[in-house]
Amino acid sequence: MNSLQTLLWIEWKKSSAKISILLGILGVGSLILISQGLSGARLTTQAILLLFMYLAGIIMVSILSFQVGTDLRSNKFHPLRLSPISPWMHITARIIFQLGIALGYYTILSLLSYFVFEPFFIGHKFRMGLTILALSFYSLFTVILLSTSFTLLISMLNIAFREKQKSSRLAIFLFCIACLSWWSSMAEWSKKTAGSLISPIRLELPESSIKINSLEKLDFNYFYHYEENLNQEIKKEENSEFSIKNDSAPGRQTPMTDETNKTDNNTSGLLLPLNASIPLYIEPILLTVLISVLIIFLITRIWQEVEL
Amino acid sequence: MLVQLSQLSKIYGKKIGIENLSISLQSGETIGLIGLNGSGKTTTLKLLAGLLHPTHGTIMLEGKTPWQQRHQLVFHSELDTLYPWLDYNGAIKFMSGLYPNFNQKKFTELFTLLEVPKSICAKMSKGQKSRFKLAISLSQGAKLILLDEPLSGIDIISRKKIMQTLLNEHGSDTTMLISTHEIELAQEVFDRILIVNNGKLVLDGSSEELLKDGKNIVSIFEEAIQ
Repeated sequence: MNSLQTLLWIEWKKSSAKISILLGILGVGSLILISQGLSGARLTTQAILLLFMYLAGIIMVSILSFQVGTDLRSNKFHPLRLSPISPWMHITARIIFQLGIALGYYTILSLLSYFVFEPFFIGHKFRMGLTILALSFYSLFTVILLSTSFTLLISMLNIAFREKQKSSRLAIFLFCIACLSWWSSMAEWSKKTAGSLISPIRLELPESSIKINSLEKLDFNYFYHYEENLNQEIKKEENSEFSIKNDSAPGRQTPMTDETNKTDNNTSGLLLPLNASIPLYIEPILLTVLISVLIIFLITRIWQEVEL
Repeated sequence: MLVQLSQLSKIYGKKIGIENLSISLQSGETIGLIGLNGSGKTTTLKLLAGLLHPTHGTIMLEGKTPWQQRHQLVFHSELDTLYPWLDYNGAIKFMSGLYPNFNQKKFTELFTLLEVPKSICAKMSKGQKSRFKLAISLSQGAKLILLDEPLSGIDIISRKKIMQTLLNEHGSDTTMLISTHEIELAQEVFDRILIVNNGKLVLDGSSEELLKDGKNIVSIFEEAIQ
């Protein structure tokens, strides 16, 4: 086994209890959903349960990140701490492991979500299924990667303070302040933060092509320009139907080519047109990956200082 | 491995851990670090292992810092420093994946010699864990082995096994620095004895010189710390 495989194996052995808890949440949650009858029999209860399961995943993955503290404590696990493995390798193994766990968990959760909301998708069910699955991948890079790396940073800062590392503390502190200042200087930052956490995906459809009746409150348009678009559209549409403009920016659309399923505009539910496109914004992924890489660089630097 | 400590000090807040410690350790030496509780033995070993940062002074292991030479050193703590799920097979997987110089054959031999059970660490007694750690420490292929109280809390049978294992290691080109309270047993193994008291080095001499004319190590120790 090479060092990365060994570190992943160590992570697996260390985290088996926590992963069991996660599997327990998934198992109990699934049983409750199945006992209530999937297919949205009791939509509100099931939606709350799914939300709880999504949050439990984020919390558990963050708890896994905090394990770095016990590994680097001066009186614990010297064979790991003193091993001649680069800090990059240690951090990479942790990130890969946590993302892997999150991916598995959220893929199963996405499938459950699909079965719960499936009756509300009129036509294009396969497409909606793919969209929900894409949620897990998308949230992995926009929410989980960032939260994992940020939790690791917090843990490492805690260790650095405890071990009385003086250098780079100020730089890290200033970096955090700069990030917070930048984010809070943006217009409506609180709504954007909440929106980013609620749903990382933006579903955009051509004008006058979407009808939301029974699912009026359930849409995925929370990211970035959601507020502006929504306000504009609500002003235009005085009746219960409203539409959201398609963003024509290059690289923002994933064209959907399913031409076989025709939709019926008179049917209650979420209707997708033939030419609907569901663009997954690439910018948030690039932004979060960039910030995460920067954070990982800082974590590695602190690890090195703690080890030195 | 040539180890050089120059004007080394470690201060914890207002408490002095080590003060102006300057020593050099030669390749192949087995050195005993003796002192009362709180005299700075563990601090010295942790500084050498790179687990603590010196307040003043420098540590050089063949001209490099402990962190740069961490593949060449091993720190055996008296504390419980192994994962509770680690067993014989796990230790082989763990060590061979992370330590390029790990000698699996030697580990298996030491494991058998020290009569370590093949159960997981969580199910081992303190003595069994200590012997398990020693087998891991001595098979890492390190040039500098730092043993902190390897005989602490160990029964007499296990002590003999550990001492015999250390005697077998004696004479190789590995430098061993062993902190212990077991000074009577220590005189059988050590080439050189360092006595520390209140963070200061109070005696540094070869065992042969110190123990000539039938002198007793206990009386030497008592004289040194007064």
